[in-house]
Amino acid sequence: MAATHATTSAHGDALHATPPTGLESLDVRKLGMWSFLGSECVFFGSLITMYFVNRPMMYTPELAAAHLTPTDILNIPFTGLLAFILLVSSLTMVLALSSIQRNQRRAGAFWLLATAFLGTLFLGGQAYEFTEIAHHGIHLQDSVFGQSFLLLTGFHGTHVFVGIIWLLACFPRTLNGGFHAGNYIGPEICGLYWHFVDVVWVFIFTLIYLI
Amino acid sequence: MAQALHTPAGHGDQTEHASHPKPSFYIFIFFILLVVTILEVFVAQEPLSGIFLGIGIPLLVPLMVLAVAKFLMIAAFYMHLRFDSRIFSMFFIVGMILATSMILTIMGIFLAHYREPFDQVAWRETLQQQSGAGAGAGATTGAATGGH
Repeated sequence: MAATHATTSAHGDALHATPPTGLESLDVRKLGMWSFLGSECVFFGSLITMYFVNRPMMYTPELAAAHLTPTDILNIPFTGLLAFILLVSSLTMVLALSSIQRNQRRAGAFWLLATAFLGTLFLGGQAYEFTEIAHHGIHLQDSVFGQSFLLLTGFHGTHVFVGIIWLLACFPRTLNGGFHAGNYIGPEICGLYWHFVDVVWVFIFTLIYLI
Repeated sequence: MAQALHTPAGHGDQTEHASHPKPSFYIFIFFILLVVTILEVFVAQEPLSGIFLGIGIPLLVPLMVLAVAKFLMIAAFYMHLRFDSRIFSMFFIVGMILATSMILTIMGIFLAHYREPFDQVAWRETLQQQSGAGAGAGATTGAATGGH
């Protein structure tokens, strides 16, 4: 303690006397993203909870007359395809980052664009699915299932949309050599966000569609 | 703390880069994830779902095991938690614990009113009961239930 104090006095700056904590090598931007993703877990957790709490009340006379539960009208093979698309997009994202880390900027830019394309494909599929369930009389304004299901999957879709914008923002900088082996924090953080969106879909697919 | 967690100059982590797996490893992980996803779809449908229900295991159990396996692989290898500082993992794990606790607590409260929220069979029975009640009581009941 005395030694520390002496060092402090010598330098005239208390910060220089701080003993190393092992945190110095952490990037605050990455730490910020991880704490944001932690809060997103709670956000999506609350939406999933809301869905299950509302599940017993998802009665519509038309579905009940046909002896169907609301999830009977969901197209599982089609949603499985959407899950596959997001899974492939996770692969292309990690390949983009890997390419950038190896100074392969053209390959990195290509994989970023491929990820954005797959994300767009996913959103198109989701729009098609929403249209299909609307044909079954499930809407946001007049059914508990519509409100719960569309709010949850819609928020996920919004996250995918934000991810696409982010990927497209990274694309030109990667192509111009702005991101390279010496600086890849931008696509790395974007990748964390994108993989999180994929992870959320893993649970939505299981809990909402399959169960 | 804020000073300690400074942004390293010229972040790029060539040393970190060296520890990252090759693209072939990511492709290998992708194929495992793909197999697990296909398995999930098969488990949720006949005849596998019938087998699980027949031996008294709710579908929630095998499906959640597969989902958590996928989550762990994506987080560990694609999100690099396996190779990064454990402090990043801690931030994420705290969020996961909070979310899971919230889901379980609220579901626990609502279980008093609805016994099997994850059971399709029980759910179907409840809806059919509501349907019967709706048919008996006419439009009034239907409007009340739909208005929840």
